[in-house]
Amino acid sequence: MTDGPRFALVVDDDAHARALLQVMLRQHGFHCVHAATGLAGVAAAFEHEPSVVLLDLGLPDIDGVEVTRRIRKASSVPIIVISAREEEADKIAALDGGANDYLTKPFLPGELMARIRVALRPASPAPRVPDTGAIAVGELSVDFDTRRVTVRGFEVCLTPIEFRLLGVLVAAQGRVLTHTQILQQVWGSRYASQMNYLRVYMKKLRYKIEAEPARPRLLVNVPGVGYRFVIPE
Amino acid sequence: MPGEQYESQIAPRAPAYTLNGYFAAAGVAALIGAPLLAGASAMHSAAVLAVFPLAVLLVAAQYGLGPAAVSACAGVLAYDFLFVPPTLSFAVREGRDGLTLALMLTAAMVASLVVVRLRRRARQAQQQAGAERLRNSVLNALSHDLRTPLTAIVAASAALCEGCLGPRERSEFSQMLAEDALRLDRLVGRLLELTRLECRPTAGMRPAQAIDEVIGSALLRLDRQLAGRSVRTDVPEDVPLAEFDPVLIEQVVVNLVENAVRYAGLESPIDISAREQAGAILVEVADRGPGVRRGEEERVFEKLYRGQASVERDGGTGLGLTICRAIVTAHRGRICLENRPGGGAIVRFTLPVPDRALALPDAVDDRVPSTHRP
Repeated sequence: MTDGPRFALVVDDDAHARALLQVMLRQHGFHCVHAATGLAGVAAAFEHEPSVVLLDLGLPDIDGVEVTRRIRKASSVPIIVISAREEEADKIAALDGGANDYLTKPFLPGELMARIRVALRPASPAPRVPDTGAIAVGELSVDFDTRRVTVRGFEVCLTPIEFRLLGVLVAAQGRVLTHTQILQQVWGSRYASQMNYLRVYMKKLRYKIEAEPARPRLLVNVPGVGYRFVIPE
Repeated sequence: MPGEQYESQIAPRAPAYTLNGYFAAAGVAALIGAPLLAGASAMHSAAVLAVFPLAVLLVAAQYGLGPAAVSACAGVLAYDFLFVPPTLSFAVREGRDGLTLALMLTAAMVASLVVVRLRRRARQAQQQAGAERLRNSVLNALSHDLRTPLTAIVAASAALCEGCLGPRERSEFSQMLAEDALRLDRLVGRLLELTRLECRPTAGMRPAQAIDEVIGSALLRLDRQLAGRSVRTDVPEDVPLAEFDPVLIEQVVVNLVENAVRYAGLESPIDISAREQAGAILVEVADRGPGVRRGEEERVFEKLYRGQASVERDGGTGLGLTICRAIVTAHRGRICLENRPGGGAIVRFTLPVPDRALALPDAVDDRVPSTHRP
């Protein structure tokens, strides 16, 4: 990441929402560029090359999902979708279309900044499971060379699929992955709609890794959307 | 479900009731014959003619068109048999008498039809009035609940704009703004949930869901409200998957845990468990608060009913448990509230597990590699 001034592009048709986001972002050292329509947003994304795009899904001209697709054609800028809870299907479409994360309205400034921090972590646009190396996150450590996983100091035995599943989620580094994205990466495109596979294996994994599986702290369910590996702050 | 309620109203009436209708029809026939048996002369047939449509009309009003038609026919036949010459026979000698009989039948049937139609319209109007009343009371309560935080927000923000507040008041007012805005958001969430309930398809194929996952995301959503409170979960790994709407069931868990937070007091731990029982998943949300007063166990599920504890405190909408029941019932489950042995309230709800196993068509060889076995 560069040390110069960071630009955030805010695409939202509501003037108040834009003003509030600007205040929040400025307090954390971001300069702001605004766009009130989807088309203006796409143009601004290419013109100003912001470090992050905050995108409202309900726009007057083209919808947020389309904005995501158009920006993704030529840019890997992190896109955080901001949407109301009821726009679930659009949220998934935006994530599958290349958005990095999403935030549900209304949100507190702290949540927004946490999401931006996650989105700005240097990573390849399409996170791949590392083949080598080791990752230690909080109480969990994963060694991709020896395929050893330890939680709270204890080694856990994972099946090959469970290991791959954990790898995919950890590699996303705190970003939400949709069900489809996970199924494609763990089982392959032919299994993209086999929700039962994912559900069963996520459960097995949670019971092996979480201290309280029905109240997970690491492998968190994002209802109707997918899963997120939470990196403890 | 509104649909079911409607269906039960238009469903055929109980057989015993219909039978009563046909007894009434026989009664009408007997009524025709009664004056004759009482020694009255055939001259009084005019009186019978006047009473006859009225009798059929009463049958129609009470029992519907079928029994009314039978009454009319039975009545006409009885009149023919007893009064129309040659008496004590169904034969009709004069054309004029035939016309009378036909007119009798027509008049009785037309009157019945009109009455039945009127009755149906009256019943519809009554139902509509009931729904209207309910809608109005829901709207009244909601607009009150929506306006209260809004009023505070408008007033507090206006005061902040005027800039005449001291630093302490300013921070107090800002906090008030934040709290009321979040309260408003919860309310709007409830409302949207209600609308969603009405337009969401509840039948059909759904992917299998894990209840522990839904409990987990519900608790995550409530993280802020649960800060510093003891929350225990107990869901064994072998609880099967089931078909349900994860967003709606999460809402049920959220509502139940929110209730526990709101009414059980700060010290009360909250216990959430799920297990398989008799072909269903049984979920329990329990607290160690004051529980409910005896006799309130069912009433708390009624629309806009607030328990004694709720009336004294602030923030309840009186819709939370109603929504829970609507959602659980739509999933063919049951929900009930009881006082917990040793103090506190416990809400239990069930979700049926389909007969066929919702596991994997496990052709995949996915075992823990032997080198990793302890």
